Amino acid sequence: MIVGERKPVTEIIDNLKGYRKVLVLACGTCVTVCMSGGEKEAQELASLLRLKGFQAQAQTVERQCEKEFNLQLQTGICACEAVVSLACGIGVQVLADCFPRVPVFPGLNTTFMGAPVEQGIWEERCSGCGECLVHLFGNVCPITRCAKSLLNGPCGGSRGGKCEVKPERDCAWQLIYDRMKSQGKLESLLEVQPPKNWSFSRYGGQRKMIREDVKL
Amino acid sequence: MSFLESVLQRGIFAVTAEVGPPKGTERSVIEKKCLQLRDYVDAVNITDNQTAIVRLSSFASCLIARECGVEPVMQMVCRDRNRIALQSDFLGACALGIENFLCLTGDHQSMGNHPQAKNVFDIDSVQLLSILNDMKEKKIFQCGETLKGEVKAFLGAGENPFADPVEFRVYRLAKKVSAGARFVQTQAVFDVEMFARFMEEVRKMGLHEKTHILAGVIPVKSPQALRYMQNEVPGLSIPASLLERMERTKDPKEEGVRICVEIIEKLKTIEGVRGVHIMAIAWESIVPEIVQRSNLYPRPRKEVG
Amino acid sequence: MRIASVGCDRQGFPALLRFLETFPEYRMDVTAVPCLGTVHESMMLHILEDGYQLLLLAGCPLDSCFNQKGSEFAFRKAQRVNALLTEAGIPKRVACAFVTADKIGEIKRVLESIVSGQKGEEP
Repeated sequence: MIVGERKPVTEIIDNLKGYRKVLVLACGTCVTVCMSGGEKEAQELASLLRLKGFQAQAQTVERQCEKEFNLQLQTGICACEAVVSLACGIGVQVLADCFPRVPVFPGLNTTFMGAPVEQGIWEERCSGCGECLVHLFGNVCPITRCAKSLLNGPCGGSRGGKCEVKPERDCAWQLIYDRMKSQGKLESLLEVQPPKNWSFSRYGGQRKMIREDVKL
Repeated sequence: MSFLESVLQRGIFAVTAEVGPPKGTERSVIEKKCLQLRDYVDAVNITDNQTAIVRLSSFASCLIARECGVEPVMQMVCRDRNRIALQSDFLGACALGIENFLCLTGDHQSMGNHPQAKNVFDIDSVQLLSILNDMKEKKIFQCGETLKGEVKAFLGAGENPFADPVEFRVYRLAKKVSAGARFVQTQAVFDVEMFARFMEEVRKMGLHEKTHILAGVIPVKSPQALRYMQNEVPGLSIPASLLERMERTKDPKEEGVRICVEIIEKLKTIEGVRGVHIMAIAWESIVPEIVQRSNLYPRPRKEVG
Repeated sequence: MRIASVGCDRQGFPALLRFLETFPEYRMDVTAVPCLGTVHESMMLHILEDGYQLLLLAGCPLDSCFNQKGSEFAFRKAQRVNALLTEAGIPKRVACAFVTADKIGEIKRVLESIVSGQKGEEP
């Protein structure tokens, strides 16, 4: 899922200077699961905005990244002067595409694609590199989980299973080593992994996927 | 063949040291350090924005070092440059007569003075070794196209035998050797017994015959410096006895030199150790004394030309 | 200061009523809920939006909540709301008093500490 964190309230309020009628729009999918931008959070933020003198309402759509859900908001959107979207960066942009004349402000800082590891803790797991090779690394992604994205790790800074860059983080290569050792596959770590083809990743430019077989 | 390579090929116990360039344009800083080291070492590593702190580039500093009569080892990290820039810099360095290269991953930018920078890490140190080795042996770029002109390069890698997972370190060394590392400089050795065990594994895999291993040493000036290294630098295994010696002594600098010399003497006896790499951080001036007291002086003469 | 209070049927609400009988100088608008655990953040904020500066939650003592965790959940939610209010620079607060129907001194202590400007949220 996509994970994001609510922006500081003061920043949201600063962005809304000059507006009075504000719609706080929640998203019912990823950001609900990571408890940053769901219905509950939208209602709380709307309350705070009202306490600060705005005329704020909260609403939720199933997913802001799909136009069809946003277009149901037609009347609601027209009644407001600005929208604070609590969706991830994708939802903010799609919402703005649906209503290009309405000022839409992001209420979250979208951060990563990840998963909950335990209640209240989410960690990044995938960088969207476009060429998934996790099976070569015991299903631990070194691109995402190694601070240096090493394919022939570890570096000299692995200590006690932790990364020297962020000591509270596991060293991905310790995880890879442990996993592959437990699977009896250590030998494959002796192969020199060639340089990554980054052209499939964000570095190759904005990506697009087209399915001719399902297009209308 | 580079002078460093010829020393090692001749079976002479090699001595290398390290110089960190200045945070500015004063070339005199490099010149002064190089002149201090010149007669006491076979080659000098020039660091590449070490700990992600911006300094005079390794490439330019290597040229300054050469002008002082010192043979440089150009360190290249993967943090700041992609494969295009790294291959290009390698060609430039070869064209200007730099012959020794150390391929490293590089410290993460969050540790340096520009933590907001975007890092590169297009390739890692093992891939860099492979690429430079192919440029040298097969005269091809990473994309497969041929390159023109001579490529004379002695390629090396770093290794930290003490970092986790410890059991895997010798295998990582093996990967670097198969990628083309013909010399290796290790992280500083304080725990000689632990290093000796590592070298035993190295010998079992026959790596000591495929690459020249130079063991790293760091002379310390104070017990605080030693404790700092133990706490802050991953994988530095420092025996309690050394800490005690530094804490009890009335002359910490002398004790630091004594410890360093003792370690070097022990390293000389370990089969497969072909030299020593002295990383006298902020204390380059002590290197001549260490080399002399370790009975490693005089150094072999360089031929002019 | 306009104060609203919400008390659980078990201990909190009876305690609040007793408190107001005993100390008539205090004025509060009081509501009953089955358990403090049912009071969500949104409800706390809505109450504050009605013009109150302080919302007082009165419930069973933490280790003897009739529904086990009701008081604890209320406490955590109150902390979250206070963090949001502080972040937004809104000078309103939610306070908790964990009491029994016959030991109402805690309510007075919490109110006094808030009125005198100290932090009164910790149980």
